[in-house]
Amino acid sequence: MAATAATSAGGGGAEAADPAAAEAASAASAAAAAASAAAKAKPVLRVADVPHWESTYDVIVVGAGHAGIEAAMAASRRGARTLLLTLNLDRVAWQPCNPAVGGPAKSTLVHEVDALGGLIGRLADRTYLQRRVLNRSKGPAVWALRAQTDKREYAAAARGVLDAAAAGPGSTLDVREGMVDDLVLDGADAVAGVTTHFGGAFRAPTVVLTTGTFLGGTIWVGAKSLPAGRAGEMAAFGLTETLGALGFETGRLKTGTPARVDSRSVDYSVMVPQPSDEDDHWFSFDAAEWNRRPTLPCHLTRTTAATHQIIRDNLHLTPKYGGFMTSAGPRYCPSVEDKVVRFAGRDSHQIFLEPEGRTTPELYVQGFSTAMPEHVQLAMLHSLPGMEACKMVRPAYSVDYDYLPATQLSRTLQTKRVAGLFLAGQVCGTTGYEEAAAQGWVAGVNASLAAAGEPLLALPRESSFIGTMLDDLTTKDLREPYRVLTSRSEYRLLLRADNADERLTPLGRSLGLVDDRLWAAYAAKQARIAAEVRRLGGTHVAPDSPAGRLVADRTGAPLRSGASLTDVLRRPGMHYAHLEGLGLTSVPAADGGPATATAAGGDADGGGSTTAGAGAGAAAAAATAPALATAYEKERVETEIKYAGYITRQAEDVARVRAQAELALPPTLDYGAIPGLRTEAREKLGRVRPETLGQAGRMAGVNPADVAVLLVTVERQRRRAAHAVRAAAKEADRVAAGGGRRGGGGGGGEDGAPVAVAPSAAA
Amino acid sequence: MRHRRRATARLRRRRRRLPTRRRHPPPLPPPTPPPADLLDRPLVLWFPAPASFTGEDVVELHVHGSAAVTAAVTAALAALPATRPAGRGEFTRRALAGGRLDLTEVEGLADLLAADTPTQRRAALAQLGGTLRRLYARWRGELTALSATAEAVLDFGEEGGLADAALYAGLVPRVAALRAEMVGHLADGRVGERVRGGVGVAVLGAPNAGKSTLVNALARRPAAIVSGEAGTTRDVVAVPLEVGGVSVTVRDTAGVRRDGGEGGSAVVGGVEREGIRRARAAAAAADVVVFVLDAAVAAGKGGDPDADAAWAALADVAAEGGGTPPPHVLLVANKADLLDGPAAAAAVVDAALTRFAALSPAPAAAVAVSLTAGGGGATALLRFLEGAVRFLAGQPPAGGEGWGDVDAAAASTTTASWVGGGGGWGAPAPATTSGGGGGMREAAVITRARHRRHVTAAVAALDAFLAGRSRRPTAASAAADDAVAAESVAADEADCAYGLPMDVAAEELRTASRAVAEITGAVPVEAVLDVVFREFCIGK
Repeated sequence: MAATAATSAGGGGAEAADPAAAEAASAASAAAAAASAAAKAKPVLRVADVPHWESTYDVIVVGAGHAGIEAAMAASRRGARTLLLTLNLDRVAWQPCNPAVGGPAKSTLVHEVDALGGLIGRLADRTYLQRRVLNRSKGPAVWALRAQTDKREYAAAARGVLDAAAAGPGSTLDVREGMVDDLVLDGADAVAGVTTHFGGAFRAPTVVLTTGTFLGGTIWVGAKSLPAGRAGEMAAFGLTETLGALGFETGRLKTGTPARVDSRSVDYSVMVPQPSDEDDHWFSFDAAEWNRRPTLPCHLTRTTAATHQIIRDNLHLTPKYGGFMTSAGPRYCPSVEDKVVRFAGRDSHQIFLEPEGRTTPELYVQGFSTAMPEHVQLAMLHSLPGMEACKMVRPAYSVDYDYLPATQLSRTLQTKRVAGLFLAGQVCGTTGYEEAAAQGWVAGVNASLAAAGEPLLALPRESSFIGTMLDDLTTKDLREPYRVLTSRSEYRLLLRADNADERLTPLGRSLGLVDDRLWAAYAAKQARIAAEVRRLGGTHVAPDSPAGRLVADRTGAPLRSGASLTDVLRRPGMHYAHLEGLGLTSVPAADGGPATATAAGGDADGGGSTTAGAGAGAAAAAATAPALATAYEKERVETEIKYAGYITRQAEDVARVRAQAELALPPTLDYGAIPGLRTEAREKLGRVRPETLGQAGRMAGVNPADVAVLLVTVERQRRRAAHAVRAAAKEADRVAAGGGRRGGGGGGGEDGAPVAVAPSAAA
Repeated sequence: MRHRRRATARLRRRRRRLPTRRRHPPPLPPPTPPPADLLDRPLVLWFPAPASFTGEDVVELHVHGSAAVTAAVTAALAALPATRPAGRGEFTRRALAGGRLDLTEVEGLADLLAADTPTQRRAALAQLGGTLRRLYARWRGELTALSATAEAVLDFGEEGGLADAALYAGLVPRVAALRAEMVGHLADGRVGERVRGGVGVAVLGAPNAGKSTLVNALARRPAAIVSGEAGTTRDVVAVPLEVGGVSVTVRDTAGVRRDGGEGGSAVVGGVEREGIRRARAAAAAADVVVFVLDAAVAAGKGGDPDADAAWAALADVAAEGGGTPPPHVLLVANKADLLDGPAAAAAVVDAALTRFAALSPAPAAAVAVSLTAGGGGATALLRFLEGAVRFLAGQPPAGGEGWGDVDAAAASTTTASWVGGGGGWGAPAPATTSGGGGGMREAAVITRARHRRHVTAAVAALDAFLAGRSRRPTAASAAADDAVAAESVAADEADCAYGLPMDVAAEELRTASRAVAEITGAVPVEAVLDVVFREFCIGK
């Protein structure tokens, strides 16, 4: 198990009196005692303990990686006075592993963050070196864009965004180098600020920790280790102890990165080049970001029998097979020695050489993660075709680090234990820039909402891959760093890349993170798509027309008479491109093309726009549909038509489960007092405290019978409460009106009622 | 005699189990107050986890059954901390929660507790023993493996260098094989459900044909009110019976007669009209329809409007298609004693069969009986019914008699013959063939409509997968993958010619997996991922 949870003194609670529990706990008691002793050594810093406050903010973001910059930008763009503190300002949005963005499911996350007004898609579009559309043949729900980015350019672009945002007197963002070593709490045990190692002190009611692998980080090469957050960068000290003192449970995870080699020492002539796709596919929905750049190819080589022999001969030198490091790495990112051992029947594995930038000769050796000592690594590299004389620039290394199991967070990413404290990124147990960015956006938005005393945002599971990830993180025990996968979502056919804007841009707009220009572009696009879908449904083609003949030819079954273009598109093997080839696509009205006026007007989809609920702006729709602007729009139309039945079915699934799944479980629910819950479920529920019934049901150790018990209990409580409310309506009104953000103090219910955002499911 | 009464204290245990097996229970906390006197000398049984019924540590105290002892022991247990009486069915629920039983086994246990007949007991025991669990678990395992392949291709194919198209194509024959097995499972003639829920027999006929008399004769007690007055029975009267070891519910119904029109009697009012509606509904839902005719009326020349209305109702019921097979029909010419001897009875029987054959191709039998004589009429009728019932419940015919022998056995007082389009009356039930001769005791048969619904849904999903993934692109379209589509999405891939792209097809596998999982319990995403990571070399 990668995550070895060392429970600290503050945990537990309800079951402590139970003798059997005490007995069982004794196994880990030595470690726990040591940990709690260390934790006790660090007292909780209070507001009164800080002699001098430098300044006051609404939101303080600690760390300027992919989560930190999203958090800081989202918060400051929403008007919150925001301070971004980071260990090293020359490493903003650094890509310490593969300088690539996207891939299956990850690209959907990027599109979603972009639709919400985040940064990552723009940065990737501005700095790509090579782009490919993956899974092209496998269906619209899994199409994935993946871009190799220029590592240095990427970081510089991110820094540029921050610097621009921090410019000028009206700016709400400050950027500062500094190592945060402690949190300051107020009398109600809510966050009140941070202090830095060299004596800085900043006040704020909300703090977002995005500390990545820097908490207790140790890097490993072979059997050698060194405390460090990344190679050559010091780990962060102090905060781990603070979090321990506050009663947070921490665990340890491991990840790694392969060697880098000098591009000039590689013989590409024996490798298979992988050129960039020239498609019109981008991460950002903002057309202003769509600027083509010169590209660099990646190259493919393979492991050889010699590679495998070297690995087998030296297995005992690796921490895992040598037995001196027990934590397991992520299963989706196995070391090359793992692949050789576990898939002994395969005599070769793919290795991709990926450029790290235009101004650096370094190549990333993808597929070649290893925990071997340096000299063995070099021998292994030299056994690859085309790499016989390569120079290794940096060795592969592993890093293991502290993370906070995110079951201690709500879906808002606020900790359940300390009001105002938010976590995002790798510290929550995830891996990947995309996962970090998405969490950063959520944490930044929620920190700004909390600072303003507004209800926080909780993206439901079925709304997005972001929501799916947050739901997984906050309900499930991790066994490895978490990565998004398309298979993690039950609603994959709804949560596509091509409709991320439809699902989330209205939300971004309502949060003030989608500006007028983008909003207008979004509305126009939605109108174009809606009009085109209507046009296709109302344009009929005869069986003996060119289109009819093409359909018969390609599918072996002739069209029936009176078939519409929608029927044509629904045929397997028929695509929007075929319509384009036949001149049956939408054209501007001036052309007077074959488009027939079928839409009575564009008002059908204008309904939700004023409340930022869903749908396009009402602008649109002349009698003919305007031409679709991009490949994405064409794919979107095609997908909506082709898979309408499936999409509708999943949308119905969502609607069916939502009512019950979103039933809120009160944070104060006393699971120990609910009869009929099994002991295991009671313990887990008491520890995790899920926010909704749906979350409870997805927790390991909670079965359908327990969910039924919870449903009955909550429903009973609700009725009782409703009765009480009616009895004392006036009183309740008075309390509600008077209650501020931290009015409760004791309950831990400071999140308020999270705003549940429905996915504007298409169809 | 030692009266067994179970009072169990469950002991809390942490999940982390000790590596060595414990041989003794952990000490109970001392009871408070300590017992002043001896309550009993009980038998104490200790079932350590995880091998107990519930999977938890279980202690059973078998005490002597007097009120004084049980009260004292119960009170002493109640005084222990964290001890309370078990809720209704709580041990079973915990066994389910602990994974010791799955839903089908719990259902088997419930069926065993409710079993009335030997066939029900055998079926319930088989199900409790895990026949269905093993079958559905195997399906789930296969679906999980299929899903894992599909998902691996989607999430890791391109990066991991998997042979995507070949992997996906390899799914098709496996899906087809699984689907065929599921379809075979569904085509069991519903014998399991009939054994569990009982075979439904509805008695239909014109007023005063003697339907209630027939029901009472079968029940050997006056279950329904009988009078010479037409229309005595207004509602459906259900009588549970055991026939040939099979549970049967016989439903007596209101006589069907003409509503409106001239001649004969007519429907009296709303109550009777509703009664007739219910009669038709009961017959439509029945496995066997016993259609009772007044032999004297049937022998008489000229039509009888009420009898014609009843025949019309029977025609509706027997024609009831729509997916469900028509019921088996037993035509009973009652009051055969009023006829002029066996020849007349035979004529009535033949006429009835002829008339029915004109209405419906459903298999039917006819018999003339007299239920008033107190002779063999009821017995002969029971024999007939038993044959049909045992066939429908997947049981071998009693005494190894073929259907053709029935009339001979009952020849003294009845005349009967069987007609019908070889609809399988004489053929062995499907379940027994699939069980390899062992009959339904061995075979995993569907015992609940709930199972059937989920399996049907799974088959539908697999059908969609097969339809969407089996078709190879036609030569013409492959060749015509062409300049027109040069810039098309996926035009460069032959895969686009399939009815469903991989992601949508994968959804069908998930749907099938969920459907099967709903029979026994849920399947989490993690199970699929575990297989993905185990089976495929994945990752950068």
